[in-house]
Amino acid sequence: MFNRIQTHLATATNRRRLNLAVLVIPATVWLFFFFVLPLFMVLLYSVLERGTYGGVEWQFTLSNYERLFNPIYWGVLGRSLWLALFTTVACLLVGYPLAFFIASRPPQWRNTLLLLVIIPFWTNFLVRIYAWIIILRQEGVINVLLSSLHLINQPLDLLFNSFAVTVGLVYGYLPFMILPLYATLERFDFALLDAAQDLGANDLKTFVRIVLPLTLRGIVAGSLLVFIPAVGEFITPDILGGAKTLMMGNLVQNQFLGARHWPFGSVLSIVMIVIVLIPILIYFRVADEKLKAN
Amino acid sequence: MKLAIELVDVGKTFQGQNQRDFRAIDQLNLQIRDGEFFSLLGPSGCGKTTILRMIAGFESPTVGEVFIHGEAMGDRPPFHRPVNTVFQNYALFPHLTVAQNVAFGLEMEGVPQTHIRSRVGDALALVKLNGLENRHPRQLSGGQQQRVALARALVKQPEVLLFDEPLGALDLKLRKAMQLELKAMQQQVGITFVYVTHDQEEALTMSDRIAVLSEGKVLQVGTPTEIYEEPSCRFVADFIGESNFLIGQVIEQANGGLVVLVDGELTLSVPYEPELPVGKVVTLVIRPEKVTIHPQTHSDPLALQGTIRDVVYLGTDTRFVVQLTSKSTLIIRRQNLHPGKLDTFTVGEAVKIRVAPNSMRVLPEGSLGPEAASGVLHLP
Repeated sequence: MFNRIQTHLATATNRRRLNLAVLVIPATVWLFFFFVLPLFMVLLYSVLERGTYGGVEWQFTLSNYERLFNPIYWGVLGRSLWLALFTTVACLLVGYPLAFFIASRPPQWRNTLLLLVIIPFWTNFLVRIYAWIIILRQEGVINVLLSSLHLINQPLDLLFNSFAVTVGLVYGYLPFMILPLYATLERFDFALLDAAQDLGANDLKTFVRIVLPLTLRGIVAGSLLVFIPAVGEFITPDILGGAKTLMMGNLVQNQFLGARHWPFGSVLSIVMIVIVLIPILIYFRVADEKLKAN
Repeated sequence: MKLAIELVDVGKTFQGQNQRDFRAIDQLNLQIRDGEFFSLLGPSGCGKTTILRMIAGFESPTVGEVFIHGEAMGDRPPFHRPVNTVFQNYALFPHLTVAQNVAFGLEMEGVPQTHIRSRVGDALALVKLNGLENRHPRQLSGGQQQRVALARALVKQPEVLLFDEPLGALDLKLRKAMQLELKAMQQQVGITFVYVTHDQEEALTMSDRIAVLSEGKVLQVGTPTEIYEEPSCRFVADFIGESNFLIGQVIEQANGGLVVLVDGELTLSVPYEPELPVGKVVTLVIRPEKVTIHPQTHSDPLALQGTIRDVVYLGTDTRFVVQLTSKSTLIIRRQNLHPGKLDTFTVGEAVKIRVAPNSMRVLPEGSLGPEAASGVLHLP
């Protein structure tokens, strides 16, 4: 009898283990072949000589890293960081009030409003970015409208510059900011606003002391979701930025496809990975300390 | 008499969906005296929380005016009113510690840090929470959270403290203990408490005066004794405690009393001064504990005849249901004082019943409140 119970327990445990394994195996296989292995290859390529027609020569070198000291690349790197940062802040300033608005509506309205935020996703990203050309170009919607109102004499230069790229980035990544912010704000207890006001806090103090700290997680999550892909963007600057507004993504693309310099392309990729890793590590450090403090 | 709060002709209409407006409060006049424990009592949806929120400043009246210590509040925001609120679900700030929660209101006032520390300490001592300063709200029990909410409001030393069903989430034992503690605390600090509750027992236990509300209107304002002994209408009699209702018609009025014919078969004499025409329909309110029950051998000429329908033993007392007329039954409660010496009755037994005339309250039927369900009454 006792033995049978033991056997039964053993098989139950085994079955649970098996179930867990089945859950993680697909992701593990996927990540190994399409993330770990390619990452390792990028690391390896970055210290090899370039091949004449793309590819690599199997010869160790650090010269690819030395090329990074060229100020030209710093400019592109700086622009990427600056545009991504600006995009993140702009998305936050537009997205936070909107997420707050949606979360404070009656529950039956919230899903409809969220759907409106997500609907643009149903159209191809490329199409949506091309649409901005029609809006921003010299004979575009904005310029025609402004000149027909006699507000301007000459068409404004809205396209193929940092402005156009920023507009495209903010437009493209806004939902990534709104969704995590909404998820945080939806759980926010709005009775706390009454409590704060009751205790003498005006609107600004209520926001700074109560709302902001309690939604910080959503702000950080949304900012990471916008900043990380924005740094590596290459479609938006390629289409809206023209030749002048290169970002890191364009540079990487050029090195692999244009210049056929795979090793230097790998170096640039690694630089981007490091840049993106820094804010994530800071986030986890902060979150960790919060957890320990509580 | 100095007034802490006065509501003059206050009305509140909420704009509902499909252009349908909901009138939550209608022509409300209320005077709350300085230093009293005042309860707003009524069933859910009667508008009591709306009244509280208008005093606190979270809602502004559609018409009328709220005065606090004689000063018209108008549209003054909550943070500029000399009142503080203890919220239903406490609304403690989850990211702040107990001490930080209590200190919040003082920081908003700009009180210097050294004063804040001592005042927070005093407030936490008052609610017996010393030693828990550095806990977060989620590490506290419901009762402790309730005390933090209380300390957070008390520390501001408001002129009026508002309570929105603060004990609703606590279990019965804790709730009873907190009721007594709140009452004692109110007497100690001497500030006006305005207390919203749907629990009539809670209101009776703690209040100096009670306003009974139904559907946005005040039905009666009075001390617990007045509310219980002299209910102004059937709704109040039914909502506060247990009541028997007998419907009858006046057949005679003489010598400061009425003779009422109940269900066309039983005549009762009750004292009643105001003039009522013969034939007028009235409701007699009889509290179950004011009726005594005796064996058939009892020789009281005024005793009524009845038949036991049900006997329920409830520990502190026993509840009898007695058939009084063909249509009406009476609920009688008898305290189990000396169990061995009490008469025992069985279902179906004929008994005698004694109702002191001055313990019956006459309600002219015109003052009938909203029809309340009562298992006692069977109208044709």
